[in-house]
Amino acid sequence: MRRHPVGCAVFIVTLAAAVPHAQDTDRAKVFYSMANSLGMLRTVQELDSVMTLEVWGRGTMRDVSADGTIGPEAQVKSLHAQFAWDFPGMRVEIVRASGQRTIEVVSGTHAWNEIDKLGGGLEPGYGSAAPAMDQVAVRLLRMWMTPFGAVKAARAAGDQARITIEGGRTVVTFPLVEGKPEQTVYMVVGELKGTPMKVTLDARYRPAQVEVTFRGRKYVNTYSNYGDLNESDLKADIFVPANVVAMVDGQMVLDLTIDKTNTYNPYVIMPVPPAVQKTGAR
Amino acid sequence: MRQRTVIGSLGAVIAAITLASGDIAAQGGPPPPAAAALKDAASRPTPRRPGGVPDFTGIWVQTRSRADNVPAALDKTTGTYTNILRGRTGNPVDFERDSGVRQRVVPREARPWYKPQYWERVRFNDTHGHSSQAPDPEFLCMPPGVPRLGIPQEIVQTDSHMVFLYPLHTRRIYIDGRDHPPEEQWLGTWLGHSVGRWEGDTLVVSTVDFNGQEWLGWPGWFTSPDKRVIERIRRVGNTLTWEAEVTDSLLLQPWKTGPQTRMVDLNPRPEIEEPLPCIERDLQHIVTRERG
Repeated sequence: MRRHPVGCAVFIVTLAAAVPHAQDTDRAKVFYSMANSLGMLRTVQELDSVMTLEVWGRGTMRDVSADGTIGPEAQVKSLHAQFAWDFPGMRVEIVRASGQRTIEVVSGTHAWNEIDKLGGGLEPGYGSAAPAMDQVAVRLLRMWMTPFGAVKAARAAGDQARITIEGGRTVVTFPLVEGKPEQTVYMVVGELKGTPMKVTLDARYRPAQVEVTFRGRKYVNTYSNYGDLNESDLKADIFVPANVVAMVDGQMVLDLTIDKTNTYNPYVIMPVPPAVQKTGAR
Repeated sequence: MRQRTVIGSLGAVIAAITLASGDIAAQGGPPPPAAAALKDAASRPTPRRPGGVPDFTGIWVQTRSRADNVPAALDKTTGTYTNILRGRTGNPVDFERDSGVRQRVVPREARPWYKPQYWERVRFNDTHGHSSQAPDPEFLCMPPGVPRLGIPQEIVQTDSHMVFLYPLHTRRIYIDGRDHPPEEQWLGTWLGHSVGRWEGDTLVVSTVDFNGQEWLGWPGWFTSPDKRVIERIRRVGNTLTWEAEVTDSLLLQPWKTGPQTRMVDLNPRPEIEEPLPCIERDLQHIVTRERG
């Protein structure tokens, strides 16, 4: 039991040294603090070490149709999302209270819906995959708007990122840029290239709000109640918001409570199914 | 909790030493080989047997010099270690969490691409790899299998076979032209049945007849008895380079590992110390699933 006070003291000292002044506009310091406050930087070399991630949650949602119509509110009985920043890809499995189940995937410049099973369509007889190539840009946007996605995207923008103070909060504004494959991120933005992203940070330099206007629609995600949401015997000191609210043109499309995460770079891969590959890339 | 701390600390120190000395360049931790020494070793003539094929006989040592192996936190001006655990803070808990997160950073092409029906089992193995629910067989002191054993520590070559020696294990590679035994005679073994043939100066080793209990790697990468392994080993001068490709009915596509390169030990009277036996003592004491 003795290690806890010692560990806490070391942690506090480390945190105090790592977090810059509350209104620091030094780009390098802010980038460092954004990543460090989420627990992304690991080892003595402080390398970005978040490559994959899984989250589980529940809440409410509204569908957004292709013409922008926002549907009625529906209860989300369970949401399971997987991220593989090195593909880069995102798989979101939603089960509504009605029993309806959807599995939406984006991987690089391909998007598809998996039917019946996670990974459906990757091999004969195991589910199937329906191409959804018109969804590539919006799904990539959702992926890069998550806290880890936004931090990785901001760092990728490098010198193009602008740091300002608005209402006492640090704000990072940058264009979404393509990048070369790196160990824990491969910046693929497709049609989003050049789209400005605005990230407002909380007092600990974690993304509190991410805003993007794309194809005439305003997307705003807010994040709060960050914590290590891994199971109690699997803590990793990687911090994920327990509450996520996504708005499109001022209307709520997702109000999610995250119950559980696995931030130990779980086994997540996003190969593009053969039937989707045939449709080409966006 | 005290027990956990003690074990965690010991594990961390052992892991730190291992990280500093192992052939784990693919995991991103240690520095690259001493390039000049490697280049010099590769420029030497390749020893050959009377039949003309390369002679792999020798003790094969890591390509980094001792100077490359110092922990990152060695203060060279004072000679003291400020952070031997190579973690953010130097305390064992952070070391284990850092290491646990970091060791799972495996580039996408370096991860075996399992068929989707096995994804959940890989994740389960990964998060329970140091518990009795899905223990990593190597953690239980079972043989690592092929290709997890990696590049041999020593090779003894005759005209009919080679003996690959690893710290705790031995393999025989038959190079006399024989084939594998017919499948109905397979036994199901940890290290498989291996035959080799020459493609120019490259020895191509085919290995089959596994028991399906061995893992490809630490993060829960299990295998089936269908696994087949092709290793390609090439001697250039005083260097030996090894790489392997695995096919398995569990996988969507073949999985490749390596290359790993070692240099021959030029000591005219080289010796290898007897390794400590592997004895599993920790499983009953581990109380969390954090493992680094």
